[in-house]
Amino acid sequence: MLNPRWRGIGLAAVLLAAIAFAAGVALEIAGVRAVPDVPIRETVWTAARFVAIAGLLAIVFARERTEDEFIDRLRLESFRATLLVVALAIAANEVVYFFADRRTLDGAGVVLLQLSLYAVVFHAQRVRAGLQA
Amino acid sequence: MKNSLKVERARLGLTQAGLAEAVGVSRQSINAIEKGRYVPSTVLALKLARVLRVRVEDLFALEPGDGTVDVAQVDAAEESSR
Repeated sequence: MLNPRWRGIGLAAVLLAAIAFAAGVALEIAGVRAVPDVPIRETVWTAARFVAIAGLLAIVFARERTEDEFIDRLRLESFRATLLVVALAIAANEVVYFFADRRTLDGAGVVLLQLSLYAVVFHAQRVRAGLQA
Repeated sequence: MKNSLKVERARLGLTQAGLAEAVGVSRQSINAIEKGRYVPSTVLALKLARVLRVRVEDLFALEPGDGTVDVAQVDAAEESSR
């Protein structure tokens, strides 16, 4: 487990990735292209999502001030809820692939979805339990 | 499961933070146990009982909603094994 301050660093990385992605979308709307025939949004997103994954990993693996069995329980509940949603998302992705021959969720997308959902659910659990954000 | 953690803690004049520090958990864990939102492990229950100088059974008790305990069945099995 990482030092609690990594939660802040991770959040900063996620925000940076989100801003980069938004900037990529704005540049695409403006008609800017990084590589001929490749939308700049995709170029930026490819880099930004790895920054986002790194940031989310830092958030997820940052330890609490006091680690105990109650926190372990909150983690487990958060992970269980998240896993169910991600499994449904993967199933839906496969259905779309079957009918439309198009996948919207790749490997990195699954990891990103899992981590971001877990971070949100666990944060909600912490707030509900009165743990400081 | 109901518990008398709050009563026993107050009896000794301990705060949630003080009790939490004594047993090595967060204050929020003590709060969650007192409010019945979390049932502690046996180890933590034993630690709490030791710090509060009571028996575990004095701290935690089963409620009707916790399911039935068929003691008669155990008694019958014990009887037949004799």
